[in-house]
Amino acid sequence: MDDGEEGQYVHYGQALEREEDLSRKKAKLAVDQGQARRLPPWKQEVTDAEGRRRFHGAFTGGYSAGYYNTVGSKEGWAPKTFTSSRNQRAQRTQQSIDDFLDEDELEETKAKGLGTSAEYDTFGFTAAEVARRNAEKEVGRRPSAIPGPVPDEIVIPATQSIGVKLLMKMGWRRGRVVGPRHFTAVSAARREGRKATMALASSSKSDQQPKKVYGAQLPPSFEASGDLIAEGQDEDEEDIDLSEKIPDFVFHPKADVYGLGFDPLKNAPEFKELKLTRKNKDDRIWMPGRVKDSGDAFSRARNMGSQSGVSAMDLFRDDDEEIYDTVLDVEEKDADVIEATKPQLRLISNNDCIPGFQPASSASIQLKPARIPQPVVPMNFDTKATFATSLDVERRLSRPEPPEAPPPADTVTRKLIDGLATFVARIGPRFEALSKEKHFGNPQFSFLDTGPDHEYYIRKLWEEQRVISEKGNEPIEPKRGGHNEKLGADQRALILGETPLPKEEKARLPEALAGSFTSPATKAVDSNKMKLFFKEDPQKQARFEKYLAEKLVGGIKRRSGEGINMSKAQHEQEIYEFDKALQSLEAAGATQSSSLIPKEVTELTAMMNSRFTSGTVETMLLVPDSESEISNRIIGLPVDECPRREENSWRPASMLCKRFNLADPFAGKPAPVTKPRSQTDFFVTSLISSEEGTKPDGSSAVSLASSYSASGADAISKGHVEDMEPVKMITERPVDLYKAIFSDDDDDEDDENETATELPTPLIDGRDLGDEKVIAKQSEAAQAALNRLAAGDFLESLGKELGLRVPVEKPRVELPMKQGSNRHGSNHGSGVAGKSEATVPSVPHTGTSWSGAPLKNYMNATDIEIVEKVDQRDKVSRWAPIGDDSGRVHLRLNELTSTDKGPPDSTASMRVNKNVEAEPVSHKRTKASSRSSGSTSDSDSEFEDEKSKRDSKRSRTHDSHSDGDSDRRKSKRRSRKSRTDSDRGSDSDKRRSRRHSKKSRRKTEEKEPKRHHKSRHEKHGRKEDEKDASKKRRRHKDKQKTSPEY
Amino acid sequence: MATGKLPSKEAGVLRGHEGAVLAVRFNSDGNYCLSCGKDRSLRLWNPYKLLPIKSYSGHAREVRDVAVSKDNAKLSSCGGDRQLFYWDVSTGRIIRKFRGHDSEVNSVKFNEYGAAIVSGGYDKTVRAWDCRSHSIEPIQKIDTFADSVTSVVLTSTEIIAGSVDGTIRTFDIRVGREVVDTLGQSVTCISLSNDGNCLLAGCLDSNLRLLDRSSGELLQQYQGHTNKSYKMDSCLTNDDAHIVGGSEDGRIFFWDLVDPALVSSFKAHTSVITGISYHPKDSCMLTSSVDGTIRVWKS
Repeated sequence: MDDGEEGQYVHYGQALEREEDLSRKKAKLAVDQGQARRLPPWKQEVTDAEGRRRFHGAFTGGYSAGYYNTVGSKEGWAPKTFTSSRNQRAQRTQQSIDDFLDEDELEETKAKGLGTSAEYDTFGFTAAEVARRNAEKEVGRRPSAIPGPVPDEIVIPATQSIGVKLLMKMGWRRGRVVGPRHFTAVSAARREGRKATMALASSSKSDQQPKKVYGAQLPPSFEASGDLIAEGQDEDEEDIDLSEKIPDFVFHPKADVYGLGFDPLKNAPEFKELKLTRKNKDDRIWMPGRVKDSGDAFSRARNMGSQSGVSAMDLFRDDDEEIYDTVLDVEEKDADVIEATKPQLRLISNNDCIPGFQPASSASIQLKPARIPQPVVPMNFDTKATFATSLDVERRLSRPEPPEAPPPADTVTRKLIDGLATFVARIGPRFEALSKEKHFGNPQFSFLDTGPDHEYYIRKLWEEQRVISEKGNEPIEPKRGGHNEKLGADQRALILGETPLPKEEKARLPEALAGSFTSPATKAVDSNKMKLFFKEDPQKQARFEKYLAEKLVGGIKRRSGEGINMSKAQHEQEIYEFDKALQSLEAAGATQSSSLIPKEVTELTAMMNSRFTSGTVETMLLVPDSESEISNRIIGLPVDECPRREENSWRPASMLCKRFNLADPFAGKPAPVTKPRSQTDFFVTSLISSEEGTKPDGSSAVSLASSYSASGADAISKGHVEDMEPVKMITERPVDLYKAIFSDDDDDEDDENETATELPTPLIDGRDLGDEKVIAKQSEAAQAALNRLAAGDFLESLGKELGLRVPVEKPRVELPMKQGSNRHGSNHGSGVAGKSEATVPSVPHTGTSWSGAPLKNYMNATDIEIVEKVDQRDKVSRWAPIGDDSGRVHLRLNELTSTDKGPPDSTASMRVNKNVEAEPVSHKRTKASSRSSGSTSDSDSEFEDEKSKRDSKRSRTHDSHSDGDSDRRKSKRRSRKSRTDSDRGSDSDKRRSRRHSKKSRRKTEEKEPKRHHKSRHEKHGRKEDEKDASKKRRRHKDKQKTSPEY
Repeated sequence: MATGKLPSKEAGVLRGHEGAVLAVRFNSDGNYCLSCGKDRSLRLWNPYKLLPIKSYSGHAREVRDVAVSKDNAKLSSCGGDRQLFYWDVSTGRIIRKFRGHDSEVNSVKFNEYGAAIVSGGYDKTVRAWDCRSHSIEPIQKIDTFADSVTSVVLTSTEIIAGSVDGTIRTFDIRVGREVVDTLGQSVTCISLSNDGNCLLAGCLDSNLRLLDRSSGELLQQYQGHTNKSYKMDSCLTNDDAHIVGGSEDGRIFFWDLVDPALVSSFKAHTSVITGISYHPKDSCMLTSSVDGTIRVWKS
């Protein structure tokens, strides 16, 4: 490394010594200090700027440890938080950043923060703070009776602020006012000087006292003021007067609520001045007089002395300049007096002006503000402002009184004019314009523009307006504001300007109105036509005519059934008939009547109609609604009515009956509507029901099913056996379709189990189904009909989806249903359903299933059955695609028919049939069994026997009916499987299998009625006659005979 | 019956409940009694030896009512935690917890066979629960009430429930019929006469009303006590000769059944009397009060 190279480098730090260059001794030293180059690496040490070793080997304590350079503990970097809790329990130390800083860093941070030391706090805040902190600590240490922090007033700082100290040093004492006087007083030298000058000035006085003069002389500028100081001031100074002792705020407490420094009169100098003059009047009044009176300097000085306190106080007011301004203006002579005490005011004092200025000879500016005299309030001045509405403005426009006009001869026109005038007067001319526009060209309203009655209208309008304006601001608008408030008849009459009718007039009103509204010609035509109706019943005809007359009158409906012995329902029905008759009549004579009845009359009639409520509605309202009554039953009913007793139907749960060891009174009745358990369930069902319009409850399904089965029975009873053929044809189709769509075996099993548990009781008693003669065929027929309908529905819905047109058969379905036993059935009294009930008594209603159908469907009585049927079929078809529910509905229907009629038959439910292909194992088994049975081997029939025996046993042991049901259905399925199977096979197979299936079916059929009967017997605890059972058995045999296709 | 035979002598005090005791019930043979209270526990006592026998705890809120099955083997309790607990008396274990009420359950009763529990609650329903099966769902829910159901009484065929809506509803299971007796005043407690023909209803207008069950007729009214805001028990004596009722001022009142005259009244507790239970055979009575004590009264 030569010099040239070395010059290019900049060296930092201390260079290592070259051992070879050093002497031996020096080299050793360097090695010891770790600064030798030749030191082996493991001996070299890294030290920080202070020469402390920061890095240690792994065996010597890691980064830094121990006493040698660090934290002052033997353990080195042992956490400070760790202390043995053995002796010091629950003592936690709060860590701060100081704990993690080195001392040099600490110093650094400390150097940054600036604070006053305790000795140097000017205002005493620090001392106060310290005192407060100490007090808080004290509070923490010993509990006091008074909770909360110590009030600041109690805590007095131990030390005085430096300001106070300084003042004290300057001669100020506590209780004295800090002011210029004391400022002068404290400087002893100055005072002495003043005294000396005073002595000089008063040398001319007779009672002059010799005064010692010592110290420095006052400067010449002080000469002028110095002579003013009275000689006796020294004595005065010592006895401290009130103004010195008591601070300002005691004399002038702050009575306002303004913030500090806020001047409310900042923008109103006149008021400010007024206030100030008023305030300072007492203080100032003496000044001119006294000062002027006192001739000698001494007395003036004395006055000054007694006044000095006040002036000192005033000095600290922020708004005092004006005072001194004015004061000094007034007493120019005394300017020097004030000058002595208030040197800061010298600039604006007039005696010696600012250099370059001269005092004005006369004040050019009038400081006195011009006072505006208070206005005189008129006597009738209203303090509240009223804002004129457009209506008022219009009203106020005085119009000349129109001449009196004779009213028109025609009462109708007159009424019309009166009414319109009232409205126009109330609403405004806009209404007039509107009606003009509306009735343009209408001769009835010709009075609006010109015409013979125009003058009368104008007069009337003016009168009405006058009436309203005279009424003044009698508020009508707020009354109108509430929509709920209805105008009474009297009020309405008042508004319309009508005179109330006398009582007898009122009674005659309908007739009078009838006379005025219906022309005789229409009546003649009507009566001629009317004769056509109700010829056979003259009384009814009379009532009809009366009804018609009332109808034409315009809605004042009286109960025409009054006096006649008629129930309400009958009456309503009659009214309905009349309505219908009238409709047809109107349709016939539409042209005639419309031409005959004047337009205005119809309009008025419509108006009247809207004004009167119809009688029927009122009577409807009078009918007590049982439901609402129950809900309205509240506390506080009149005591004399209590206790009252009512009875309702109530359905105990079957399980409850069981637990109470009682027979279920509703056993065998359809299950009540099961309410969804969870919110989501409810949501789903409500969704479905909203789609359908009615609730898909069990009862409707049941009634549906029963209607179907009954319709089937009807068909069979006519003896058309061959009719069964197309039925069968159709029933096969949906089986495949359903199978194709819904076939999943697992689901099916579940569904069946579910329904079995869901419907533990048979839903309909076989006994209720009517005719004994045809009962043998009923079940089959019901099945057929049901399937046909279901198939039709399905096809229809499918067709709809695919956009194809499916021919819909319309079998006539009668509804021989029993009255719904559910509670909803009784709630039909309201609205639509009630009306339908009244008008179409021939059609029985079945509770819920009827309420969904719209009224118009019942208008034509002949179509009702079909309408009803289609309606329900629609329901079914609409149910079909909705997941599991559809299956459940169908299942329920199936179960109904199958449980009711006991034995299974060929056209059994498709839900069961659809399993034909889905269960390969059982399928094979039954195939085998059919084959073997064909070869008259007994093994499989034995198997069958065993199986059915077991089934029957089970059904007997289980007291639940449903178990037996499901078992039976299983066996049914088995047999059916074999049948359908065989249908696919060869002809011989078919024949064989048919034989077999017939056989097996007979077997199961032989057992089932008994079982069915027995289980029901057990279930209901009722006695069922043996005849029934034997009949059933006979019925199955008959069926086998009558159905040769099996 | 002479007044002296009425249980108006204090035979002892059962202390142990912390806070108000809300109900006290004799067991079916009258040898023991059960109490429940705001301390969320049930306690079984021997009221004659004044011995606490067992404490049953498990409720999360106050226990409002307790019922004992006829065979004295099971208990049922209900309370503010909206649950019914079905207890085994001897082991003190909870056999089943019936959840389903939407709010506090006010009253609970066993049926004749101990197979079902019927409860009435603030959720305006009466629910029947099955003790035999493992189902914890109610087997029947009756929600025709318009207000809180305060008291439930069972006969062998009927469920009778009184409600704050001023009705007493009798649900005849055998017939499938609901009979509504409207009293017009909130019913806080109903109890049957021992012959089962009359029903005593405590109303919030400080009246006890005696109704004929078959006709729903008001037979008698008993006044004198104060009952305006608390659910307080009232009952008939074991011989159906007198009516016992508590008062909000801690007094016990005895009326003659036929003649509505007050027979006797005495200060029994320092606070509102919540529960009264009359011994099925003897002239002995238990009263519980908000003051936390149960007192045994004998003639």
